[in-house]
Amino acid sequence: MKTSGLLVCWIMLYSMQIMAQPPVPTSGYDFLGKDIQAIQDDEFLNPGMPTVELGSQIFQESEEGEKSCASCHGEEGQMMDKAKIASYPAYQKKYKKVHTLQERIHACWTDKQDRFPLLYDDPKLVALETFVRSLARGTVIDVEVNQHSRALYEQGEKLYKKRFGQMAMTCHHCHVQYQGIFMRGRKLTQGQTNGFPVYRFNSDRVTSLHRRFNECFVELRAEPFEAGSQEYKALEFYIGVMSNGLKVETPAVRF
Amino acid sequence: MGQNIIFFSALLVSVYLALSQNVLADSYCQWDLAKENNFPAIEKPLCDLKGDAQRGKKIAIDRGLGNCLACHAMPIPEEDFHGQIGPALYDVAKRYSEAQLRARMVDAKLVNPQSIMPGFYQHPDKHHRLAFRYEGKTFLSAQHIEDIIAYLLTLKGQQ
Repeated sequence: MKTSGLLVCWIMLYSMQIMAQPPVPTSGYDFLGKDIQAIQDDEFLNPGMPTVELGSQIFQESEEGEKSCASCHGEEGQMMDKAKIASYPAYQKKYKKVHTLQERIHACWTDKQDRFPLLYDDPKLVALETFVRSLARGTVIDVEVNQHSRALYEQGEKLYKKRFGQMAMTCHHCHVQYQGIFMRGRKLTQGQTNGFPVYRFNSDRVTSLHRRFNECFVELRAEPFEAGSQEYKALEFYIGVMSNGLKVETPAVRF
Repeated sequence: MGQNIIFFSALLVSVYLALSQNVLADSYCQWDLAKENNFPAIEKPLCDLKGDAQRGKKIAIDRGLGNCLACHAMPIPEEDFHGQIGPALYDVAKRYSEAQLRARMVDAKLVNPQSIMPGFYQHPDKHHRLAFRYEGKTFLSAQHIEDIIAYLLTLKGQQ
């Protein structure tokens, strides 16, 4: 009797452990049809490539007497560490806070190049981010949480599991609990960030991650946060950790 | 003169009170939660309205209104892409009474606090960060809810 009780307890604990484990990270790429995958893989067909091209032009531009990005990082950005690109959002010792890749680029833009500051998600910054991240295509994402960034990670987790808007759904509902299941005509993906900035057929443009968050909030009939807000950065950081182990696909092609 | 002012302000206050009460009464009908076989149930129709099954079916299909098909499979073969998130509703009238269906439509979180299903008649103040254009509005009107319930009660599984 005692042993069977223990057995039942063990089975319950074991099944709880299985349920508590996060799902294996799967790229949005695996949720696409073969034809769309082919478009993403083909450098000439991929509709995100013009934005990469634009980004590389901005990368080489310089204002009079100032350095261009290429002056330090190489003509094609070849001096940059791919593993480091794939590790953003990352804690910056110098600034004592977590920077997204776009913020890191902007820090160079204002500090090293002494250019006029840009707003978050400025088309120039999105193009630069797309170019820089596309250099790390195929590199495994490795976003690290340390004692300084723990608070931001936890804020992100809270937001990820909070109900928003009239739909009153959480990110967790669609992208963890029901991932891979059809919601009317659409298969729900895991909402991973390894392909961002991503070309979307729905809006026919290269979309930054924070803009994608906005689009999600509008669908939930909720008031979005601002691009570059603390809340979106926390979400980006949290989902970035979820994406660990996936390969960078920028510019990915999605619906 | 002094009397006039008092009279006028009293009139203003009473008009304001009457108006504000009217607006509230129009926008949201209160409901009483009861228990039926240990399941949450709402016995009385919302705002005492009567539902129409034909209209209810249209609302269930409409992507801008109920959009039930987003998550539930239903006996509506003429529409493509039935969702798989919620349980299929082919015989939903056999499983639940009208009062239980009403509670689930008003707010599925009364039954399961973790549910993904939106509260279609949840009080607007209970939403977090509701978009400005939806402020003070429920997802569906009381009439919509009653129409859908009338339609769901026709689903007994023999189709």
